[in-house]
Amino acid sequence: MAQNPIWSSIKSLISAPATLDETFRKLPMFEKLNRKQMKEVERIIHRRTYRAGEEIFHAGDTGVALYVILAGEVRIVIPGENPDEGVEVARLSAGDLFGELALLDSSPRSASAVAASPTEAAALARPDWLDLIDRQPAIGVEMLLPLAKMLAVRLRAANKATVEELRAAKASKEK
Amino acid sequence: MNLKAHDERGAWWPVLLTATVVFAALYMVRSTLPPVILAGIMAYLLNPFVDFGERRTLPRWAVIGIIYLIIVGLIILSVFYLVPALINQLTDIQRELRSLWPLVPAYLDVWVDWARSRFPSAVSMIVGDEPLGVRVVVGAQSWITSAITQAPTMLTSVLTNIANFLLYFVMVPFIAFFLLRDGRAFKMWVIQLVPNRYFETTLHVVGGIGESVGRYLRGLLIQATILATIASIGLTIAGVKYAVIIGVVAGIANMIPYIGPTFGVLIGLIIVITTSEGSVLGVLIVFGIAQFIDNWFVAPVVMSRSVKLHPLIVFLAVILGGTYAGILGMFLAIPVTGAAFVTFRRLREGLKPPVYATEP
Repeated sequence: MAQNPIWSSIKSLISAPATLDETFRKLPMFEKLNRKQMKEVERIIHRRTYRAGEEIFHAGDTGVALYVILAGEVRIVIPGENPDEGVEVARLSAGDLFGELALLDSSPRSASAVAASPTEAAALARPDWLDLIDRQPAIGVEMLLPLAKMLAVRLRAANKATVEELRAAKASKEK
Repeated sequence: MNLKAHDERGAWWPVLLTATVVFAALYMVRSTLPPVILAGIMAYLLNPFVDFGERRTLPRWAVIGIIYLIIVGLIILSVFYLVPALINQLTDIQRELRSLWPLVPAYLDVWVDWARSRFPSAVSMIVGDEPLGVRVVVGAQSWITSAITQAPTMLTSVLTNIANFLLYFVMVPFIAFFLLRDGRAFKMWVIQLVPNRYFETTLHVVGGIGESVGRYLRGLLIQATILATIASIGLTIAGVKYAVIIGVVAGIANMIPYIGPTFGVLIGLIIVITTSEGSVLGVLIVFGIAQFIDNWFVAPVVMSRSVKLHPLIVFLAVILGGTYAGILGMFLAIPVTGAAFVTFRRLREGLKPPVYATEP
């Protein structure tokens, strides 16, 4: 039976566990925060529950939040030419983080995120995060450095992949 | 050509339904809204100071307490300084008017007789054939008689107004305290109720409103402070009595579009005319310079990133606000219209159904 979304939101409020600390501590972006700083971050976290198959966000939409999976599984999908088509590029599980680029700018999402099973996620919204950084800049520094590192690793990997692709293309051309 | 869109997203009706229910609920409790709105404005304006204190690792409630103590101190000081000055001022004005009053009918008759000798039919059509001075005196006498008969009712209404004022005086800071301390938690709680489908769009809309309205109100506060400073210094140099009070009142009044700047000048002129200290030209020059600096240098800088509305929209919004909610409506017209525009733009962005590739 399909659940009423408003009712499920209220239910998630009532049944929310006390702390997110344990899950967040394992993520590089949050690991340097001290207990007090972590409490401040927790205050601006939105806890959301999703049914299996429910879309968390859609490719092309303005990105506003980063998500950390607390329970369940999420598929990252690049939509195809038709609504029913799509390529799954990643399958994430509890403790994984996605949509982090939305914290840096409000550019459109590059892929869709869909709950593969009943999922609980913690969302950190950009406006709330910027407001927190404005009030407590130290938190911003502790979170931004690991985020920059994460992006640098990805950029290096992307560069490497591009170079390899170019090399392969050149080699096949020479043959 | 066949364009396909996701059927669940892009649904406007739940948003419209929610908006209708919210507006209907607000309409039903409209009489209780002004103190909440004023508390909201107060919270918005004080929030940067509370954040400033929080940045220095003070708890929010402590910073709010300190700010409230400062405000109460300033109010007490200004009451001690302002009330005797105001009483003196009103006594002066009363004395001036008392000496002027017997001359009014005679003056009026001289002017009306002059006009009657040139345009007899027009004047008798407008003011009648009876001498105007007599009519003014009779009219004033009958107004005083009716005021005396209605005194008990008037007194009750005055007392009710004073009670309302005192209630506001307590209620507004009380509500503002909780909005400042727990405003974020309230916002989070409301957003938690939003269905997943509209979650990111809601975050986007709320973020946009907070950004633009916050910037507007803070910009307004900066503008008011700068204008009050320029006017106070200018009026002091021009030798106007109560220069600082006039400057501060003009700065606050300046927050109300269109009528605010005029109000400041009027107060300055009234004080100059009744006290005979300083000159009318001096007041006009000081406010002219203050408005020039405000409109050409301050406003473009502090308001550049706040609500961006066409001047005609601003004008219409201010008229509409004034018609339905008086001075408060005029003050709120621009931020509310700005928020409505941001909401609409971001909702359109968020609820726009995704367009998939066209099929050949």
